[in-house]
Parts: sequence; C-alpha cells; structure tokens
Amino acid sequence: MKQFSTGSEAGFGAIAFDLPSIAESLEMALPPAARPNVADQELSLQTMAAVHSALAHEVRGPLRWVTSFSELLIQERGASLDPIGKDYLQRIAGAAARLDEVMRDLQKFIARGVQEPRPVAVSLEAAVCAVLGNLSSRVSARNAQITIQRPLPRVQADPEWVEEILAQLLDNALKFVPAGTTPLVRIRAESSRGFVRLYVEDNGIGIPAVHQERIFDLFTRFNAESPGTGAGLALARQACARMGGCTGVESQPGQGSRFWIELPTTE
Amino acid sequence: MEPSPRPILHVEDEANDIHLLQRALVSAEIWNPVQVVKTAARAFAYLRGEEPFAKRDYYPIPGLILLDLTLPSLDGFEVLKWRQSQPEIRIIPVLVVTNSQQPAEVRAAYEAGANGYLAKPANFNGWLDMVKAIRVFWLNQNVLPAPPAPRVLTPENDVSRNGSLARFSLERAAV
Repeated sequence: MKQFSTGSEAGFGAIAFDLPSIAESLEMALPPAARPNVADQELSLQTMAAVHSALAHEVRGPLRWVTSFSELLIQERGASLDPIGKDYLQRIAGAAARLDEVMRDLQKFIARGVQEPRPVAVSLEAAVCAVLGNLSSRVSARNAQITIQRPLPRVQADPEWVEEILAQLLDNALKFVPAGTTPLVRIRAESSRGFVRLYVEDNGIGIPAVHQERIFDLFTRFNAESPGTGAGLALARQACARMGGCTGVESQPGQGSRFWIELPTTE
Repeated sequence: MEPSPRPILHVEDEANDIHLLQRALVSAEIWNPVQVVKTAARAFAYLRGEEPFAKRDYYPIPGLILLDLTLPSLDGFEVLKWRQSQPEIRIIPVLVVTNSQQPAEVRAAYEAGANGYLAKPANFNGWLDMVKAIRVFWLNQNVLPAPPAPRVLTPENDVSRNGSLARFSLERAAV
C-alpha cells in the first residue's frame, strides 16, 4: 500500500484516513485462516476500538490482580511457603508479567492501526544518531562496530514512528549476534522512484528462508531465550505501512541479515 | 491536640482494587480513615450527607476523593459532572484512579474537573509508590479548603435534644 496523501497544500496538515491499511494491519495480526473478509471498514474500526478498550479494562485489570496478589503472597506469606510452593508462585507471577507485556504490545498494535501518522521531513541521519544514542550502553557493552554510510537522505514520515522502527531494527542487529562475535552493523540508504530505502545490515545468526516472512507477524519468536514478546518487527512493519512504506529482509543462516524499510522521500 | 486526619472517600467497585489500596495504605502507614462506596449513587449520598451516611460525625466530609471511572450504572464521569454542580463538593480534590490511559478519557476527566489522573498500578509495589506520593502531596503538603462550617444554631434548627448529630453540631458550634 503506497497511498500517502497529506493535505498540507490545503492548509492544516490533515491526513487522509487510510482505511485499507488499517484493515491490513489488523489482518496481519491474524493467521491466514482467521483473516476476515472485512467488507465494512467502519465496523472494523469500531471493532478495534472495542477490542482495545476490552484489553485495557477486562484483561489487564485481572492481570494486575494476579501480579499484585502474587507479590503480596511472596512478601507477606513467603516464610510459610516451602521452596516448591515459592517456585510455583514465582512462575505464576512471571507468567502474569509476560501476559501483561503481550497485552501492552497488542494494545499498541491496535492503537497504531487507528492512529494517524504526523508526517514531516525527517532526517534519517539525525534519527539514526538519536536512536544509537539511546542504545549506546548496549553498543559499548557488546563492543559493536557501527558504520553509517553518510549522508542519509530525508524522508516524509512521522519522526516518532521512524525512531521506533529504527530502534527495533538496531536492537535486533545487536541482539541476534552469537556470543563472542563482535556485532558489525552497517547502515546505508538509496533513493529511487519517490522512495528511500534504508538498509540495516548485521553479522548476526541470520534467518532461514522459511521464516523470513513470519518474523514480521505478531508474537513470533525464534529464540525462546531472547527477551521481549516478538511484537517488535510486526509493529515496525505496521508503522511503515501506515506511513505509506514497506519493510523486508534478506538473510541466510550464519551470513547475517539485511533488513530494509522504504519510506516516501521529501521530494 | 492534632486534628484527626481528614477521611478519604474511595469510589471503586472492584473488590480487588479496594483491597490493594487499603493494603498499600497500611503498608505505607497512612492512617486517614477510608470510606469505600461502590457506586456513584452511594458517592452522591455520602457527599450530600444522606442516608445511610447522614451522621456527619461518623461520615465526615472527605479531604480527598479517589475515583474509578468504570463504575456500574452511572460511571465516574457522572460523578465528576455532578461534583462540578455542587459548590461545597467541587472544592474537594478528586484523583481519578482507573485502568485506562486513553488520551481521550484523560482529557475528558480533566475537563470534568479532576485534579489528577492515576493509572491503577500493575503490581503491589506500584500501589505502594502511588499511595506514598498521594500522602506527600495531597495529604501533607497540599492545603485543603476547610470543610463547610457547621450551621449556626438558632431556636428554629436547634434540635439538640433529639439526637447525637445535632448534639455534635452544638459542640462544634461552641468551640
């Protein structure tokens, strides 16, 4: 989907509400068999708003109670539990915390589907530097080497969303590198036909071809030990799509990965 | 003698959240009396001093209201709206304590006169931090308006022989 109509010429930066991409982002969350044939876009928007509200009130509420009362049980009655009892309790608390994280990401995914991006001219170079600044402790902890092929062009996009996408890609580039290997990350961009394609290349573990599309699905994790819920790339793809762009990956196991995002240029 | 701490009115229908708040208050050693009401209608009755909360010496005007937005029947927004129409009630600070952090709801709550908006904490330590913050600012540093003065007794309204409530008003008026 590459519709990206801004109303900036008409005055205030009103953005055409991009209903098809909202439906797409909802469908991306579902396995193919469960994908609805959404005829009535208005209804699907209402459905999403209802789901979002239900998650906030009906799901996260009881989850907070599981977490809070597990915590109170450990703090106040921990002494009367034997080690196995404590272990069970910690598993319950851990599961509730995990579920809360999943719910938060799911809410974010749904909210992002109905929010409108606020596109302005964004310097990819400045955005990359800001994100690397936030990741600096992880970069130095892993002694990672990061190369930016300057200059990086500007794109027409929502600056907050762009930073979120870049943070996700760079976080992955640092994370999925075997212990003992120095992470090497290369960032470069090229422009063509009204779009900028930004590449983030790593020397990580790589992704088998059969998994390359699925990694952009919600909650897919191929490494059980890695932290997070597996929503990051789905959120990144959704944000790109909502801004009229797209995402992709080229990779071979053991050969690193090259993730890319495409966003409209500023012209 | 120190005046006894002003009570907190907690408008909340979820038993677990009522328990967690009270447990957090005890852990934080906050001894203000807490009156819980589970519906908007009972909040109105309490604040108006109507039955079953008619005895003001047992059910004094609160110094702070904690208000959930999702209540059965009339919701928290209705409580906020009603409060704005009551000169003696709208001077009592209200903090919304609720599940949603939807920008539209936050905005609507402030527009309806809320003095603060707090998300229900995700864990018990979060509840503890929240009540401690409330104590520091709302119960200790913040200066509250005085509760409405007791009615001055005149022969017409002096019903002191008839009950403890009026006797209480008489004692207060004499101070």
